[in-house]
Amino acid sequence: MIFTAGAATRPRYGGTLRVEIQAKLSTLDAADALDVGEAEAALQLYELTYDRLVCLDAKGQPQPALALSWEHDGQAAKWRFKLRPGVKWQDGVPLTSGDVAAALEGQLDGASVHLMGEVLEIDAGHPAPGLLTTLATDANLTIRHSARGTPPQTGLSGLPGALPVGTGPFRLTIWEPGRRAVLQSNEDYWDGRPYVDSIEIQMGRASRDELLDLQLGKADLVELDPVEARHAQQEGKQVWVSAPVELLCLRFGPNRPAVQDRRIRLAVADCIDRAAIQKVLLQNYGDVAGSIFPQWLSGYTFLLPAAMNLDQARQLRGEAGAAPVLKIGYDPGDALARQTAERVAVNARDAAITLQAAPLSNGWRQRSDPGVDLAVQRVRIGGPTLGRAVGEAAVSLGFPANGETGRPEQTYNAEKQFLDSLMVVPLIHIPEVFGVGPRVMDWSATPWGSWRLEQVSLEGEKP
Amino acid sequence: MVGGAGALPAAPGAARTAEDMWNEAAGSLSAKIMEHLNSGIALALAVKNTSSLGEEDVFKIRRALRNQLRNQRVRFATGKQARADVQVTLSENSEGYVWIAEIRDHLAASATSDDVRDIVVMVPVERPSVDDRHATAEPLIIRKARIYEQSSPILDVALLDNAPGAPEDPRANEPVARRILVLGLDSVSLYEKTETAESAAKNAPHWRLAQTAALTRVRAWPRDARGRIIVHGGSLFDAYLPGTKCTGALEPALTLECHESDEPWPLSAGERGATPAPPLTQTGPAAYFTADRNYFDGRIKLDEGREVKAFPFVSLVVMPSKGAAHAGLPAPAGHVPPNVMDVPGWVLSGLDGRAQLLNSSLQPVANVGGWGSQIVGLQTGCGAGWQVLASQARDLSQPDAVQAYEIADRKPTPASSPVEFAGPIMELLPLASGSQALAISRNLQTSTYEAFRLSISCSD
Repeated sequence: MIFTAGAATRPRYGGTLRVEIQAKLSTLDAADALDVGEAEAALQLYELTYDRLVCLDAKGQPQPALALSWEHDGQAAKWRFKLRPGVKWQDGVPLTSGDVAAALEGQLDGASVHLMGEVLEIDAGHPAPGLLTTLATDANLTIRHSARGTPPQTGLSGLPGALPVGTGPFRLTIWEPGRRAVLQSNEDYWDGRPYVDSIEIQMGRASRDELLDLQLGKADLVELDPVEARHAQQEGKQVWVSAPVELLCLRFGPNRPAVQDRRIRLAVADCIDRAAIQKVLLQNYGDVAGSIFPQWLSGYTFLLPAAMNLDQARQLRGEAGAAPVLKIGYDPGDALARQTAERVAVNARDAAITLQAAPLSNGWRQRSDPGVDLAVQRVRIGGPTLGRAVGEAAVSLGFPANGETGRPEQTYNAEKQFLDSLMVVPLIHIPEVFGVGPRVMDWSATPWGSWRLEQVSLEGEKP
Repeated sequence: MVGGAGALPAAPGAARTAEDMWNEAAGSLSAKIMEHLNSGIALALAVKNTSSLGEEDVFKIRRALRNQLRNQRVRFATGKQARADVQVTLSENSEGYVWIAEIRDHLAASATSDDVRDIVVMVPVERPSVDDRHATAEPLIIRKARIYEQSSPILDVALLDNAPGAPEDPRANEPVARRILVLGLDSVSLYEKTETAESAAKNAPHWRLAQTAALTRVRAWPRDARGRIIVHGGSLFDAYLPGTKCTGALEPALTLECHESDEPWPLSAGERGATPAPPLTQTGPAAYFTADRNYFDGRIKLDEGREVKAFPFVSLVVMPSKGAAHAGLPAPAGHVPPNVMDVPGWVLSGLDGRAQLLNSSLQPVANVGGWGSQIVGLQTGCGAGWQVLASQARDLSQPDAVQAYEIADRKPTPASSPVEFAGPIMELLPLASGSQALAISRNLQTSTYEAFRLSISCSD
């Protein structure tokens, strides 16, 4: 029998959950985020503040949210959603079906949105079997008050009226871009008031400082880098690791003459010691990747192994003849990307390929040619379904998406062809890692890393 | 083509057993394999499991694959006799199983080039629902029988039509309900029992939704809303919800009407699981629920209208005289008028996660450690005749367990081994027989809510 003083199944209400993240969130619009970390942090805030028509459970299955139920025609082109009655915006104004229709209008590619009383009809114009997953995951499809997507301006902290309003479990009440955000629980939330009274998020914290705050009891939930996460685990701290939701990869510049020869790209791919990167830089978190999509999303990664083949790399390099020094870029704000670029350069030397690691300038993502021959990049491949992951890879990597790419066999064939071009070389599938403090009860997150902070309660709080 | 309703019938897809699903998927994969091979070919088949499937399932799948391929006139061979190698990997992803066949046709390879790559075909396969586990323990045995499951929260379940003469559950040795009334967050639903091959095989009932009545919320509820449903008179019922009371009828059609109310909630079972009886005038103690939280405020209304005050609590067990005597709590002194209910002792699970033993005056006389928030008392005839079932002190993200305890000399002693659940226990409620309890659990593996009937058997 376990004797845990004070612990109990039924959660308690109250208290402030103290969260620390590394990203400096300068905008509340994920689309404007500068990097993966910032975009992911913005999405986490969305999940706390806004609602969607449907949400996904831990298995990625659609569940009712603002829509109570739904039906579709035989082609899954026309969908009808019965909306949940009695929902209020966080400012107390009742949510109307018109609000929902207005929020979705123009956001679903090529689809039209109609109101039929309290029933919302979405006509995709073509078979859309994956519509529910899209509604549940696309950041553009969150339901926000009027000026949707408009980021609050700097200096508006403390003026709740100026901050965006949703119907979600928490309301953003203080917003200091790049520094701090405070969210208060929504007393009238349709799915029940969250257990904690508020969440305070400190931004721009270094992983080492976060670990220290966790150790000193100054923080309850911190985002950790692998080295600090390993330390925390060794100290017996609770560390939560998501399924791999990011891909660390090499991308060759499509217009760079130095890497037009496929043999050079293959030689670089063959000489990389991914296992060492995973073991040393990621402290054994994550998985060595030979595929775009991780095993938990595809089920077939063993068909796309990533094997180091130094002999073949040397041979290919020899066949390719004289080659200039190649420039490998990395995001200067991403320590893992920098360390990986340096390691790849060391590996390449063994195959007589000279790589020169160089930081990328600001705004390199927006440029068609970032000025390097290849770059280390982190992209979000978080799913939670294979179809959704294909959509993410299409946006971030130019992965070819067609109507059937949610099916494993079709996705495998497309992925194999895509990888054969060697324009993208997968390196590591990376999870999100959080340190969870001892006050946190009922810690809950989806396998793909979405927090469920409305489910969390704090030990020792008065009810 | 309709989805999103909160409720699923018990055992989703109940008409198909896991074996049916394996056979169907094996048929699909075999057909895909044979699109790339000639009929009558001699092939070597290997099956590897990298998924969470158990050995028994893998054995059945391997057999199903062989049968399906044999039906397509494949001959099985080994070594050089084989004209093709087929490696089947039973894998899985976030949406279900993925069965993958890598096909190497030696004839095609030699006819074209030595470097012919394997052909790969795949079929996605739905995961079947998870079977519940049964546990045994010494010296008493808790028997756990799943009644019902759905995807949205279950607040309470009333077992109906437990008339004498109804067929008995051989495991629980109790009449089996023919209908159940399920209190959810948005509705009260009446289900009727149906028999399927799977339900018979799994000894788990399958329910058909007969009627449902929408539940109108008259105020905002707490996150983990709780509720009680009390059936009386055979066809009338009351539903108690945060700050709300609903009255309803089962006949001629299911109806429900809700209004704001601060009426106390009955602590006893009413007729949940009972033989139909006339409306009760004496229903036992009732407690006041805090409408915007998940606990009772401590005020208890006794039968004769008198109110007493305890600490705020999550759950409360009324001790019978025999149990109180065994626990070392003396019976109340003096004459007790027949219409006044005096309780010799109580067990209370408080908001601080600790349980307490209280005397008849609701004064704490002992603390109990290691219990979760959910407790229920059962009169079983085993051991000391009365036991407390308690969930364990774990949080909502972990599997839970229920264990029986006897309280002797103010100290609880485990009287059974824990019976495990695949998720936290959300409620433990008494059934009207007094010898059984209803356990509502959230299954962390299937993300469904499950209602179980718990009973205690004497180990001898």
